Amino acid sequence: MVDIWKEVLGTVEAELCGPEAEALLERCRAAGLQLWKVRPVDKCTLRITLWQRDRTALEQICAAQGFTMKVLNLRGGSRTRAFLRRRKGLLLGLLLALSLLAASSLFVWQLEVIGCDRVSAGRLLRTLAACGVEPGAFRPAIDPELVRSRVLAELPELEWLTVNISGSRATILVREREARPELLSERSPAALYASRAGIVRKVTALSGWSLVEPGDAVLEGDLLIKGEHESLAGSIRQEPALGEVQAETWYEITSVCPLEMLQIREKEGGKGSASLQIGKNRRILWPSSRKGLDECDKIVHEYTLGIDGLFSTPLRLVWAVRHTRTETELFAAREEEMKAALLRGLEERIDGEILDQAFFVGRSEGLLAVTLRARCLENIARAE
Amino acid sequence: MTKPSFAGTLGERLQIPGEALGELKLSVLGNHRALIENHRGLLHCTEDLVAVRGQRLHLHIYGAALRIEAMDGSDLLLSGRLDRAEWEE
Repeated sequence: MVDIWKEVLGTVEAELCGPEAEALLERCRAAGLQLWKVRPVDKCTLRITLWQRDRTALEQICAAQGFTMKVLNLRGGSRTRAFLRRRKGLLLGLLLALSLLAASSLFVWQLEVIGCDRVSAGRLLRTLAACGVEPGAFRPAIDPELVRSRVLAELPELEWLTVNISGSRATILVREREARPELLSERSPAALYASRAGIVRKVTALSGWSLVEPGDAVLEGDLLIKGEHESLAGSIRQEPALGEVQAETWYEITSVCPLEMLQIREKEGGKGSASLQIGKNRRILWPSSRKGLDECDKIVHEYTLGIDGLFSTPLRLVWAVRHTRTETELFAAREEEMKAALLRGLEERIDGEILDQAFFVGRSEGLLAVTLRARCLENIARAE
Repeated sequence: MTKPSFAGTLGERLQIPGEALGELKLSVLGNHRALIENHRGLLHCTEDLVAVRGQRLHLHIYGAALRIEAMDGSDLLLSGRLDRAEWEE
């Protein structure tokens, strides 16, 4: 900002030569001159920068102090004004752009939704548009409280919502309602079964009666903790079974892929199309080819005119590039990637930890097979 | 021990900040930048010494490659390698 101001008002860099530079600077200070970049060149010479409007005052001070003044550089000021006077179209364009920018800052041009997971962003944006929050909406007319009340009434899946408007950008923060868990009666019977075959290592029965002990071998589907029990009086007592059964389990997972695969490569110099979006209207600048999308990939780039986080304008350049798929190349299947993927998949699958693991790799008939054998310790108790 | 000035004593009693009473204020950023506020004039200006006059004191800043980045009627921004500062009554 200071630099723009310097361009408008103009600065002078001058070299002053004479005795007692301090006295000269003191006179400048007393005269209220602003100085920058004051640096002594030698004992009698000083270089300073000051506003162009203070040049006459400095010349008078120099004359009074017995200094000679030599202008080294003139920047901005009258030169900039003369430059703009010669280019009236540019000046008019600048003023017009500034006016448009000031006017466009009164409208919302960019919407960002944060926190939407189960409710689709499209549905939320349609509801917001019905409440008056959409690209092109007049900013002062948006009442965040009213918008929140209406959207929450329209979308019961939302628990809370707020609309923050900063410049031409509206950020909608959303919190979705947590799904209410199914409530079970404490007296309803339930039992826990083994989700996988293994050897039981630890049993923690919080409620119900355990049927297995550490060291027992169980098969998938075996009853581990039951919820019904016959009391001494002969009646049946019922309660939901709760607890954990830690067991050692074994996994063998195999992944197979061809040793060599064909990969499609993009052809350079794909044809593109460009359009300019002004608010909600799109103007095609040059159209794309009529080639079907089956033969190529379409990648769309969008550039919004503005500074991210500061302001945005209704102008958006949409550039779509089509890459034709023609060339192919062979590449070898990556063994390490397959091993990592197998391990990652197993970690996501189990409710416990992997105790030890081993990989076996085999190649035959053009196929690469990677097998993971792992011993795990996990909770195998499941309600079903 | 020097006797505090009347303005200084009054300011202390009335809890008025010293800079509001025109006392010389020195703010230093690391050892490469210094801002002197409420100065009353430049006494000396070379690459290794910059001296300014305050209301009651003179401030001498010693260093190397010292340069006045900006200066107006009351403030002075100094850059370069600052070695030490001395006050003189």
